[in-house]
Amino acid sequence: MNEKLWALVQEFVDKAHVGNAELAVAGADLDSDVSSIFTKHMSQISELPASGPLEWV
Amino acid sequence: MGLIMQNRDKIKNFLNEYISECEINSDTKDFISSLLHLKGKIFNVESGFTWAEFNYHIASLFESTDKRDSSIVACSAAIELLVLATDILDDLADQDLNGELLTWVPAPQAVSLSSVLLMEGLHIISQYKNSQIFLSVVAQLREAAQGQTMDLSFCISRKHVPTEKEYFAQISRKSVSLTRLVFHLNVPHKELAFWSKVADYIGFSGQISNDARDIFDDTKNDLVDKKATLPLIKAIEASQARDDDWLLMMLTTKNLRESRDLLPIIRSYIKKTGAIKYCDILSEVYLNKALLLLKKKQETSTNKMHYTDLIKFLGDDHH
Repeated sequence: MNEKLWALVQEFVDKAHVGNAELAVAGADLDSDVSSIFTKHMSQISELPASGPLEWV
Repeated sequence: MGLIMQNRDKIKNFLNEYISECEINSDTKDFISSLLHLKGKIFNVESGFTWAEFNYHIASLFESTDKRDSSIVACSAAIELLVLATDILDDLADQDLNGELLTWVPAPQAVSLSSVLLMEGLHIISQYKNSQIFLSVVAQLREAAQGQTMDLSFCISRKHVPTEKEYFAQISRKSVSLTRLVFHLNVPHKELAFWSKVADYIGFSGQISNDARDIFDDTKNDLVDKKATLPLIKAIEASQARDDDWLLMMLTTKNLRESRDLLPIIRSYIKKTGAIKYCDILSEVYLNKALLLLKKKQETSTNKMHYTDLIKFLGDDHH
């Protein structure tokens, strides 16, 4: 699971503008539970790490 | 929000009373109180996730809160103390002297404080749980302690860059054991196999998210000390493939404790490799796995409301 995800993240992280459709196609090879989360995160532009729901200190 | 405050207030009231009656000196009581007001702790009004409330929600799935609320509250307070004890040891081991904990408590006092918190937490649990459960809790704490020892040498070096697989094995021992502890405290023995999966998913999610954030935290020494956290491992992987191992070279030839001016460049580089995005995605994937298992279990539960409360507590706004 993780190797495919890592490869895709590296492929798309540098791209300035990536459409959801392009991400969805790229993520089609991922497990279904991973694909939508991949598309969501890669279409966001953020400066800092996302605040995960589980912000335990 | 009302329910969360109600649970939190009960736990806080227990802790206030317990600490005031504890046979420890007033300085120690003051230190404990101060630390329990820090970020992420039960007395801090801005805390979202607290370990005490996490335990309360898990316990509520299995015990009737009407009949056994005093036990649930007490054990939730105990969990808060136990995790605080491990937090102190963690910061001491990492030499996070500028971190919140060690800013409040000098290192010598922190060592004995950790010991007191550990003992008081175990004492509370021993008052409310049978010996089998108590030993199960001790087993998870042993795992965490052994993981902490191994963590001291779990670093990046020229000779060895740990793999992602090794990272998951390490956090499983050191950190996820604390999540498992909460489930071992509350879950009927025959159901542990299922709930251990939930524990692992929640634990992995939290730790990966923690490690990604700490790369950018100036009060943490993960990056400076080249701790083999997942974001650093993946960034080095990318750097080895694309940039002639630049990142590993930087980490192993520069003393980042003395050259902190290099940190922004290194952080920016790590971000550009996609390592942080990868961690963010993975953290959410694991949390979602836990939530799916919970929702599935909820379907056949007679305790649906408590499942809803737990799922919301873990951050599923859609439930």
